[in-house]
Amino acid sequence: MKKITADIIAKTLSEKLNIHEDNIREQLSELASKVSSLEEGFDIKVEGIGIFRKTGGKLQYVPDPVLDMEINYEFAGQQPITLVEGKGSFFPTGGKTEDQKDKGRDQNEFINVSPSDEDSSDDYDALLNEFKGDEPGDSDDESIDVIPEDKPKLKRFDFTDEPEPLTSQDDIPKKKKTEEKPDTEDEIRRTISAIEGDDDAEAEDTPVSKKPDEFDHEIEEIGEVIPPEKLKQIDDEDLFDDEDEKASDELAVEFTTLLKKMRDKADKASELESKEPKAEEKDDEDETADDIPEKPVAKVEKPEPPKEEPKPVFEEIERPKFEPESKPKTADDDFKPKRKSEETEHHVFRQPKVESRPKREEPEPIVASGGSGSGDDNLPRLGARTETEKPSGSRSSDRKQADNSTIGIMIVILLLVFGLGAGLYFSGLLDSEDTEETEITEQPVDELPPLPDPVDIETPVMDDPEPEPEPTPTPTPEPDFAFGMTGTFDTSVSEFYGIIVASVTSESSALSLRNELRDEGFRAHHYSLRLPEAGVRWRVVVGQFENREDAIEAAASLPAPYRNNYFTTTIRL
Amino acid sequence: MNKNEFSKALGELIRDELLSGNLVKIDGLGAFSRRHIPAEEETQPDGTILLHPPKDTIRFEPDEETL
Repeated sequence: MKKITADIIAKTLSEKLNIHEDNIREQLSELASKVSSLEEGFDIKVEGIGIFRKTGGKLQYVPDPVLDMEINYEFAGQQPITLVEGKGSFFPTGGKTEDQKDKGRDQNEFINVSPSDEDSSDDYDALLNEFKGDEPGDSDDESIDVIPEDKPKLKRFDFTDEPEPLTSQDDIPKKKKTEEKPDTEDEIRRTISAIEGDDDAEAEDTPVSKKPDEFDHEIEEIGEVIPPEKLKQIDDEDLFDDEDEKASDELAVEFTTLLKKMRDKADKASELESKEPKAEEKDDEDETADDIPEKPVAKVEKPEPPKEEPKPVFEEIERPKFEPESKPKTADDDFKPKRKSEETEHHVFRQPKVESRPKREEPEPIVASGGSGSGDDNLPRLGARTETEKPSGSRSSDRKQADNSTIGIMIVILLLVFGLGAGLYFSGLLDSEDTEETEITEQPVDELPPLPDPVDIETPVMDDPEPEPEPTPTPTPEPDFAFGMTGTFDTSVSEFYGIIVASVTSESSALSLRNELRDEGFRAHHYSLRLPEAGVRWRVVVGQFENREDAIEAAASLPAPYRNNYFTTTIRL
Repeated sequence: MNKNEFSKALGELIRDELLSGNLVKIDGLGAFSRRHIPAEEETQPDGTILLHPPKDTIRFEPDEETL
């Protein structure tokens, strides 16, 4: 620090003011005498320097504002920074004495806290009462009611979430049962009622409460119904409501009987063919054209009545268990509808022959002699017809009949298969299978662990070893510029906060300081600005910061000479 | 030269010397110097913490003769 004495001042001012040094010394001595002679309570104002005042026996100096600002040039314009916001003060910050603070504090305290204030007390009491009123209602009630309310909620939640699939899966087969059982049950009940002859069975709305054993039993009964005895009873009573079921049952029995009959006819024809000569081929040619009209012709030409043979045929008709010696009948007879029982077969074979008789047997005397008309005479007529058939049924005709019978057999087999299927279907056997299938389908549904399923489904998802591809963080484009106190100074940033460590009048000193700081690794920069009073000043700034707080924090790490002798400001390049 | 011009020129001289870090001593009056007050924190009663910026002020030490 250089000490400037009165001699230097006189010399400098004399040069500056072009005044003699002695005059300068006189002025200085005069100023000192005035200040020293200052009385108590008086002051002297020296232009450009300040005010001298004597108080309490001590000389006080109040610098001139301009001079003070110029001396504080580096830090001029800086304002206090609020580092931590207070929770509110009862008095304005600063500018108050302790008494004023106490007064303000007391007043504010009384205003805010005093219970004597009716409004505030009322509000406070109202809030207090409200709070007290809420507490038991809310907290206590919750503490009591939450537990019982939560449990059912939890139950409800558990019931709706997890067991739902259970219930739904359990319900589905039950619904299937309830949906399917009535169908099978209705059919079973219908057939039972048909068997038992109870026409009102369908009208009864008996609920479905039968056990599977009962259904099986009924199915077995249905299986027992099919045999001829019960079918006979059924046909006699005509209890079938459904004609299809009836027809199917009839067909099932008819085709079984027809098949055996046709086989017998084929055997018979082969026997006749082996015995008789082959000269009767003409008859075969004539008969091949048309079967029905030519049969009477054959009968007329060869009225040889092997009357003994048709009788066994008739007997065969009467007996469901056919004998192998039965005489083959015509194809017409084969395709005619037959009943399951012997009587039905008897009727079936009888009626078509009565219808064909007037056409075929009118020219035949045998027919006339055989009797006509009444149904009681059907048996002898048949016998007569068989007698006429036998002569017409020569070997060729028998062969033709055998051929026809083979075709018929094929058709019969097809019809038999169809009939058996239809019979089984309508008799309820298939329904029973369906019920079994439903039972089978129910079992896996029951066997399925409904709960584990979703768990199993979920666990692999949770335990999936393959981790989900983590969202790759999109690389945010880092700015080329980064704030900081070290590094290279970026002049492209036009505005930032910096730490001003020096403000000097010469550029050379500022430049040297900047280079020194840069050598230490700091981001230093120097710039100039003109002040209205101080003229051109060169400043050295360290760092580039986004805000003032960052600059202040960074200033703490500055070296000792600059740590406590800096100021921050906004720098605009 | 009037007194105002002299006092004004004296004030400029003191300013420049103080800014240059020098001490200006006037015999019979006292010595002017520059004092640096670093930044300091102030905690107010409400908890607010203020950071005052640093400041350069003029320090005057009257001469013993003047007292």
